[in-house]
Amino acid sequence: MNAVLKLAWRSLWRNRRRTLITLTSIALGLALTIFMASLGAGVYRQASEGAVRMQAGHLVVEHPEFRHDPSPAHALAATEVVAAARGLPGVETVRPLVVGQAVVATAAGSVGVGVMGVEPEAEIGASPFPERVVLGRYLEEGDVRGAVVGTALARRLKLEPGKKAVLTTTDARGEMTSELLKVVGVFQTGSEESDVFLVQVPIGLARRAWGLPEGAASQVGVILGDPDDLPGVAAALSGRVDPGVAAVRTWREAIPKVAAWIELDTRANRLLRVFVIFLVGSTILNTILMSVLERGREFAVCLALGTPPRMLRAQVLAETLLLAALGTMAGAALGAAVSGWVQAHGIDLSLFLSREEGASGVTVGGFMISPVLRCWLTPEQVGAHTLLVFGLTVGIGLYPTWRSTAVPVADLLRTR
Amino acid sequence: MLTLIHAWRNLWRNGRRTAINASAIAVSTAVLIFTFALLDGSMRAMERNATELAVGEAQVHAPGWLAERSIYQAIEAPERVLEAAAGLGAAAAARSMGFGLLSSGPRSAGVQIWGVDPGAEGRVGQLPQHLARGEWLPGEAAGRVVLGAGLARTLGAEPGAELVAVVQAADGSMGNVVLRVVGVLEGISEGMDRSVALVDRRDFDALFVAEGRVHEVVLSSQGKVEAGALAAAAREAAPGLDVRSWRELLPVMVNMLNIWTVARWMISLIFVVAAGLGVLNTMLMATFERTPELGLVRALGATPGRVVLDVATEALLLGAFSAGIGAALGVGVATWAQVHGIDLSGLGAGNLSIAGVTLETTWRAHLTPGAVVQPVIVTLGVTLLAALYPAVRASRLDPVQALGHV
Amino acid sequence: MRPLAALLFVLLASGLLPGPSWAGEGRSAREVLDRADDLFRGRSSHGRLTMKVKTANYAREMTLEAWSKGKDLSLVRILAPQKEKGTATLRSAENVWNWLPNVQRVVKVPSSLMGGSWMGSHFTHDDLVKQSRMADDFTYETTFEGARGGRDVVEVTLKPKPDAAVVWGKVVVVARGSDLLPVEIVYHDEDGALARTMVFSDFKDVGGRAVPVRWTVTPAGAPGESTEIVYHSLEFDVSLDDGFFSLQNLQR
Repeated sequence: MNAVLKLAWRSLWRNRRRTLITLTSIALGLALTIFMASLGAGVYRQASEGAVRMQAGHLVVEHPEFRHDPSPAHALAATEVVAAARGLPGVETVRPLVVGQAVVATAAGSVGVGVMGVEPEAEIGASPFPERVVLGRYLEEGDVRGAVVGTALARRLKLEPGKKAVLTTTDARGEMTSELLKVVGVFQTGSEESDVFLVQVPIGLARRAWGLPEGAASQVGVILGDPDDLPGVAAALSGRVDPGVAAVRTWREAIPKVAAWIELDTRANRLLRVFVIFLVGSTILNTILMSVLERGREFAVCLALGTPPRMLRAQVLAETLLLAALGTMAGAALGAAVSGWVQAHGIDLSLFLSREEGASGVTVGGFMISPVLRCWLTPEQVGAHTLLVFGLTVGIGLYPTWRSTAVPVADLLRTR
Repeated sequence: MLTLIHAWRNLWRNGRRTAINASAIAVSTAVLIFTFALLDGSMRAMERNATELAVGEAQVHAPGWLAERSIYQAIEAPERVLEAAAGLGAAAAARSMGFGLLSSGPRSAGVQIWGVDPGAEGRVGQLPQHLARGEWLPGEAAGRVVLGAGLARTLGAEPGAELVAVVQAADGSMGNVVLRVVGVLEGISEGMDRSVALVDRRDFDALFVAEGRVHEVVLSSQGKVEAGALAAAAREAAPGLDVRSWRELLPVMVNMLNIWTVARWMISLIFVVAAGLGVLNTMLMATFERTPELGLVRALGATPGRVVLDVATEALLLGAFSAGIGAALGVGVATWAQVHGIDLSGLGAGNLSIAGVTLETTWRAHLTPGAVVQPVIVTLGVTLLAALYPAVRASRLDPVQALGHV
Repeated sequence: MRPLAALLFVLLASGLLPGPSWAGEGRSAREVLDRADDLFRGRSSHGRLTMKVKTANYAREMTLEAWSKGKDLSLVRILAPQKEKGTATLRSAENVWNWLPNVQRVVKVPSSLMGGSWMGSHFTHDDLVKQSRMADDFTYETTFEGARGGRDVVEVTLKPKPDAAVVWGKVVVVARGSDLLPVEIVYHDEDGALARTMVFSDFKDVGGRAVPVRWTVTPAGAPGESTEIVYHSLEFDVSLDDGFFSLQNLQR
């Protein structure tokens, strides 16, 4: 076996140029495929992470009826859920939220808004709002009546940090309640929905406004360090929550539009990747076919000199295996390097964004995404595509293996 | 001409090599054309989504309406806008806009009420096509209403249900009327889903005592006129009004499209590299293998220039021939995908209808001359380069050396 | 909007202001506020009034009939114009319902629309319902006492308490020195700019008490706009049971 490999190796380097060309076909093809896959994964990951963090989280624990009727009456006693979720491995942050509809009024007028009651310390790093404050500051622990509002709402109600507003709503028992808000900051997300219609307040104030007891929450959001842990954490959390009291839902159920969009685009990307692989395969096929064609005379000489056909076939097969191994190794390394670089540095597309007012970002289904494209490289992607291209090369190489001993020796030796 | 015939003959002297080369070029060209057409198609679908749903290609408002949305900020003499649109060959739809309360038993919601011209809406956009359930407005003042899907959920109202609308009318009175739900719209925009109710303009007039006030005129040329040009023309025809193209109305959408355009370039680039690589490597290898043959030609007295010219002619001929076949193939497949579309719901195991959200899953190509010409130029260029480089090298070699070249 | 509500709704609901003379000693700020707030508890009223609304876009005049009981119950029915005749508003505590005879339905005004105009006037639904004791939400002090413009007045300035759910920055109440009845309430926003002014005038004797039967609201920043209410008839302590203020009776 060793001897065959050695022979094959020598034979490969006898025509260095041919070998290099074939290797380039395999390596560049694989690198392109890996780059394309990781870029797609990166974009979808960014889109879903952005959306997830503007909502509750990767997982949401809520009253079973909350989805159909998101009224404050459908709140749950969340203290235990929060504690259970915080104890799970893979969980980055647990965010108890109280959400509801209300009217915010100032002397300048009143606007119907969505209110999100949050624990400020759980939000930092978990949701994009703290980073999106353009005026003043985000909520802090100890804020009792603090509120952050979107830029468009601030403009409409003539609000700025230090100003006050009155929040009015109907509580869980149907009573009208009012709370004073003191604006501490103004955020701009680029999502029209958030910038016009969202107000974040400390969760205690939201509980008071909707008449909820201490520890109650409309939703408990769970943010994971790695979104790929979702199924495991979901199962673990479901095991610790009484299904009659609370439902554990994934972000796909919470924001189906974004999930469906990502799923659809992932498929489009997959289709395109099939085309690239097709091109790569046809390139490998053509270069290998070409080599075989050109080597007909060489095979004929070998056979004429008495090399056993089995031996020749083994050598050609070994050559293909070597080519495939070398090519895919180089390709995997190149693809991973390029993807890794783009993952670390990102491709900043904000150059292509309009600077008009109100056009501060990019959104998908109302959720902001970052204009910096980043790859998301996983060993699985690299492994799967490497195997695929390796298999493709070896499959294609079977033809020349068979072909090497089927050459019409006499004819070939006669020509030239 | 003689050179061409000579080159053509020469190509078929090694038929198998030429066939391999030709197939590499043809496949690359075809896949590039198909991909470019698909990418153009998805771009068009996004732009269409932006314009065809509710926004149109351009909109006309009274100055200040966009900021305040007061029922009193109506377009003066809206007829002249409609006439101007007709003069530009664009469809136009007038809308009246107001705010009010819709209630159904104990449930109620504050909504934007649009008074629309049901027939004209179908000409400027796709609103009538986005009914998830029920029917479009009947085109007469019959007290019918079409709701956004989110709003329908909030109100618990499906087609057939009766709602009460209460509004502050333009004369300060409390306008109220019973409306029957005929349809539910889905998948247009978050805002429309959540808070828009559509009624006939005549019903709107009666409810709001609006006296024919028009707050928005939507213009669409169905893509015949570029949106910016359409807006400019409308601006000229209706001085004193606030005319904006959809690009000015939806800056976030424009950003999204810009990002997607760049992403499309990157995908195109990946494809150009992959396709180019196919042609390049096959052609390079083929020409390198011909080094001894070219040495022979040199030995027989041909000048290096002559050798290079011959190889270039052969490459061009081969390229043109194969790219032509590839283009025909690519155009064929792309046309098929333009007419029938590719159903993405069939790809992948996951369910695309997540929690009742439905997306357009058919991916339609859109074939433009650019999507054919660019791939052909790319493959021809690569073919020529890949042939010239080894040919130039071979022509410079000592003929004897070249002959012995393996 | 609470201070307005506190005074205004008392007016709207009961149609009168306190009668007992309140001259001399102890004209404290607190008393000026309590006059308006407290003395109507448990009292009932019935009256007819005209409401004239002038805005940049329309002018309208309505004739209304109003009943009230205590601080929490009131019912207002439109008598004219003909087009809106029969339309009625019922308030019970902080809830407001409208009866719409055209469509034969009762519609509850949701909290999201409480900031909207009531019957096209410069009053919002909030103005009708947001009752609270001004003294609870504001700190107050007498800022002027004596003759001004030829009459004896007491001016009380109210500033919202730090946590009070009030949008105003400052409210100034001017009351007659003789009986501490308010003659003017001026609202300022957080920056101190004038937001709106209410003026009470035409004090008449009703059942032995002085009552302002004309009051006018003028929003700042909208020249020429106003809402004016004039009572034509008014009686107190009419017998109305709580069932009168029911959804069934609203639909009558």
